[in-house]
Amino acid sequence: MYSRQVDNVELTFGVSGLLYKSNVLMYDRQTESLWSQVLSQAVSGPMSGHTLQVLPSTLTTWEQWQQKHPETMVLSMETGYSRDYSKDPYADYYPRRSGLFGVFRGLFKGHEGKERVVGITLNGQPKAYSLDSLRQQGETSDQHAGEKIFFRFDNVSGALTVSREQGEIVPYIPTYWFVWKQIYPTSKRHQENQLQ
Amino acid sequence: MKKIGLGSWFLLILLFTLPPSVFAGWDFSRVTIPEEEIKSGGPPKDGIPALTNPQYLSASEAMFMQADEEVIGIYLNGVARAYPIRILSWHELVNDRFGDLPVLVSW
Repeated sequence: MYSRQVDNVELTFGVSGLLYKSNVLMYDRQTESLWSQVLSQAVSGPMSGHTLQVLPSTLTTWEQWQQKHPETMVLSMETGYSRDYSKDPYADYYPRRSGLFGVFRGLFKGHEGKERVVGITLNGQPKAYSLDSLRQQGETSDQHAGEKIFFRFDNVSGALTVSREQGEIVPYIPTYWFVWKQIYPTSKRHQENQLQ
Repeated sequence: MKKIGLGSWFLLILLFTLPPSVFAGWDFSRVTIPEEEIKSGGPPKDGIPALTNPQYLSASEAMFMQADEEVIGIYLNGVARAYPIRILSWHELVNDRFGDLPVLVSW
């Protein structure tokens, strides 16, 4: 999730239909600049170079989220569009970008590339961690870019927190390994037995 | 006189019948990524409609929700909201607001 407030201007976003490295490019309706979700940055047009502030969000299940926040509201199916919300349009195609558009089909063998990861960049160095593996371990740490970083999975809310030694929060991007690898070709990916 | 080959005719017809390029109309000035790496995703601009002014239900009203289904959960400025993935997948973007703060939920 991002803040839509950029330089004291409130932007509204739409889907451009264009992809960069198999990740959606959005555009803002005020200036028609194109923005990359994964880079959190405008990549062309008048806003080029501006960044979006990333805000914390959690990928979890309804049950876990409701336990942690009983007062929660839920996005209504009354969206103004008639869509069949009883099913995910990409359910047959996961991961949705590769399957639906076919661009990257066959680039990765089996399901390796389709693995869900959380990607971080620390001191300019990218690295990706398997979401499943972090979830299983609960609390763990890793040595990256000359620093020790800590991962904590809250089993109640399903929320993941990544922090540095002094507790400073490290923002992360949940995505697929094949998407992350295309944005950051030099990115390392942790091997499970390397986690302490 | 040289005859125009079948292939050339085919190309000419193709040229006039194809819809305008998905790249037309976009401002690629000040582009910061290699332009040749910008690809068409299939649907045209706004072919996947982003949501604005989304509506909400309370948890007890949301009878359609299943316990094990995936949501993006956000807790901000004292407000908690869940965005079911099966709705987000049809729209990809939600232009929303938590109190005074305008936010963009993306999937």
